[in-house]
Amino acid sequence: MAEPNAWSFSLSSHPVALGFFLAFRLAALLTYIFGLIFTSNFILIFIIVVLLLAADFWNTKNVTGRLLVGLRWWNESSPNGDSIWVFESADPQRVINATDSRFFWTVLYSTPVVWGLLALLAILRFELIWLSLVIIAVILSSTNAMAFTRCDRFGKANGIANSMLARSSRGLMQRVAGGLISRVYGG
Amino acid sequence: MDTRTVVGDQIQDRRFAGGDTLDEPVWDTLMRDVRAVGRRVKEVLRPKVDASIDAESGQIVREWDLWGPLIFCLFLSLALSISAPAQQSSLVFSGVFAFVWIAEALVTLNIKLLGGSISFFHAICILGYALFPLVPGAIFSIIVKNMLIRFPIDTVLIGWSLFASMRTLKGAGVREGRVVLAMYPVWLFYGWLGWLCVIT
Repeated sequence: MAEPNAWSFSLSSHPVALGFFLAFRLAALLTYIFGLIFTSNFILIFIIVVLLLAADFWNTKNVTGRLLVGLRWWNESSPNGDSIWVFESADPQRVINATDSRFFWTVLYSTPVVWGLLALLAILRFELIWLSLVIIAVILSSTNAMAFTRCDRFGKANGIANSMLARSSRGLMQRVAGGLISRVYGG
Repeated sequence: MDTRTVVGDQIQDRRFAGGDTLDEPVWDTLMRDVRAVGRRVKEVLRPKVDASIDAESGQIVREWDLWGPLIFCLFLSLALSISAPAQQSSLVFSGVFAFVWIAEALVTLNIKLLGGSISFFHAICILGYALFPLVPGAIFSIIVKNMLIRFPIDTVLIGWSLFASMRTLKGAGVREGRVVLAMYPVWLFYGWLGWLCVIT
């Protein structure tokens, strides 16, 4: 099912958007992991990573999701103070590029996983000030991941997510993730 | 459109039915948000006293965003860490940063638990934007080392922050007689940050 060049940029209909999407995510990760090699200034790295994470969050939410897979989500405050979460999915007539979709969903789900592993690493090494930064990263990236999944309830994401879960450890992880997801989204 | 309620918040699923904001140029999206941040800074800092414009000003701030709070928090933490002793710099930075966000969350939780009818993120947005006056205060503390000069200036700035946030929160709809209970942590919040600017 996966053609040999399915992951090539040339097949994407929004290569620039895809490029920025990957660039921000990778930049935040790499700055966090390798920043200390280039400078011993913790504050500088913290600020850069936080700004990159914020830029990545905004970019994914407002640009990437919209352009690559036609999904959007936001939160409104109603006049009586209620908070309304709105999940918007595209017109079914709209054609979604398969490469874009594959790239988007894969990177969307793998980012929180990677940051989660880095969080574990920070806990094991007792680096609590770095942990605060990683926690911010986990929260931001998982928010986007969960929100877009919610937008796409009946769409293709479930197929890709299921195949990813199946390929990784079965059993416990599948049950935990399935239980968590059904509790959050209420079926 | 399908609406359900989850933990007190509503959820809506919408199908995009046309219009051009789904495919709009990225620049438009960016500028829309940039302008919104600018409007909110002006709005929170100089709340309109005229009641007839209240509805509009309420609408501007009701659409919340956390860019302003992030930027002001970063500047505040940076400024305070610069004037801290060298070996405490990063500790002060991450301490102030963490304190601001955790305290804002706790103050908002307090307001909501007292029956406040304000949305969680909306309240954090207001508290964060009202941090703006303290930023020049912290920067000023880098330049001026004398606490006697810092004190009155920081008091004025704390007052401005308090006025801006309370005016915009407008008691947040908490029950009668609980308004002081709800606002007291807000005073503590800005007071503590202002005090940090004085003693740093």
